[in-house]
Amino acid sequence: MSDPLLPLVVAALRLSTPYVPVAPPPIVNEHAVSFSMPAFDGLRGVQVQYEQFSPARRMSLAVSAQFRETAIGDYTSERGGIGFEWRWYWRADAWLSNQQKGSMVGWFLGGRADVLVERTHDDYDDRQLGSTLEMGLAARIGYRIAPWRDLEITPSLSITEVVDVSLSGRVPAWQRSGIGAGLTVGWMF
Amino acid sequence: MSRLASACVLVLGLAAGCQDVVSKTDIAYDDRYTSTRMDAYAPGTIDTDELRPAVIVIHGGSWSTGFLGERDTMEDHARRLAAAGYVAFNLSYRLLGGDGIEDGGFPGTIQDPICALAYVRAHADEYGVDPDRISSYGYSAGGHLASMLGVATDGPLVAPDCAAAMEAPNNGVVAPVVSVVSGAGVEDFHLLPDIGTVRDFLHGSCDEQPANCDASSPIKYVAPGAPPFLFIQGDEDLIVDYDNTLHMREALIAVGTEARVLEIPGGGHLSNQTAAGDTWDLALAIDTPAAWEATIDFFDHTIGDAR
Repeated sequence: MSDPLLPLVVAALRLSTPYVPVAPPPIVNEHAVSFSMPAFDGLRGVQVQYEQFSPARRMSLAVSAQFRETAIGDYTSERGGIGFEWRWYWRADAWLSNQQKGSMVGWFLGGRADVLVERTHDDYDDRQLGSTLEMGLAARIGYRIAPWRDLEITPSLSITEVVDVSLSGRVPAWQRSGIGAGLTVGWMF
Repeated sequence: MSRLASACVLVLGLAAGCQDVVSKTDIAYDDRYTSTRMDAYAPGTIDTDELRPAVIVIHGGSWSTGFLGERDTMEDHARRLAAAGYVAFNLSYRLLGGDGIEDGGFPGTIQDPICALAYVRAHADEYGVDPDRISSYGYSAGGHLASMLGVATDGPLVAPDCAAAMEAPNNGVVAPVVSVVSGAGVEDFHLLPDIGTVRDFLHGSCDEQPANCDASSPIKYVAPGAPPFLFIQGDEDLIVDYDNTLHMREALIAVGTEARVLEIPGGGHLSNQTAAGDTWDLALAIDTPAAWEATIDFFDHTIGDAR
């Protein structure tokens, strides 16, 4: 048996309940374009990187391209290549940042792979010496701050492993370990 | 596994030049000291009927004991040169801070590499080396000593008194190397700041010890007939001013000698960029791909293709 007053009671209860708005999920920047400061060093090169952030995972993937003049004087050497980097911003929060929690700021761990080709020319005798294929792997820790609007500044430290392979075959293939300090400046959007 | 071997494995043997390197370590080139030792690296076999060109490899480290002041820091360079076909001799020498008679500085630190060169020539057949095709290669303080091997082996104030040198032909005067690769080397002590290491090396400042200062500066020995030089240096080197390279190059060209420079833009004394373009890497200027291409080509050109 149905009560004919039931719909009216339900409608009255709904009207008497105060409206509580549900907070929307935080909107964070999911993209960044960055420039490498070391690549600018000597005003002989550029490296630009695009980074895509997943707020749910606090992880990002980046792809970069670089070009740099690596030797001058009586030789000319040019290097070009691409790199890929994965990052995990485990707290996604930073001191000196105006980005909300959950953004791609603060401490991060990363892994990076680069593939480059470097070509060297002997200007003294005007002849090509050879080309070197460079393959690099790096593990990285860094800390990104965003001190003004969406500007990002990201210092980092890396341990690297690089293999050089001379494409001319004259210089023996080699593997080198190293440490490096990085610094990028860019814009998040 | 050596870096050469692991690199060859990593590239699945696609690269040429992946050959074995053999070594003989701790060779005493002057029995009077414990510091005067060297390691020899050769491609394939160390004694061969076919005489090969050789390279004297000299480490840096401010002529001092401690950080970087050991020949181990140049072992990779010696191995890579050997893999390219050269017989490489990686030296230790007397350093500032050594105990007693092992203490280096002027002139002992300069005499030791000259003594090693005399020793290699005297024992060339034991190592399969052509005594007329020997070059020098070094970085920083080692670049300085490599340059001295090119121009100053007959300097009266730095003439060594070791057995190998005393037995050298031409009344004990050791002939210079055929060519020099000097990485960020000190070429003129007058360009260095008046700091403790320099004062220790010269036993005073350049003003106080002008004879020692001049006798330690490769640029003061430049004369017609000097061997060809390849200089490699970063142009933002804050330890050894880049003017050392430029002035020495100008002096050599002025006497008709081939002098090349490979300048690394933005490179420092110990920081140069390797594969990841977004980092400053702890790396010597002579250890970049362009530097290696130029170095091997320069040695092929001056002491013969060693393949």
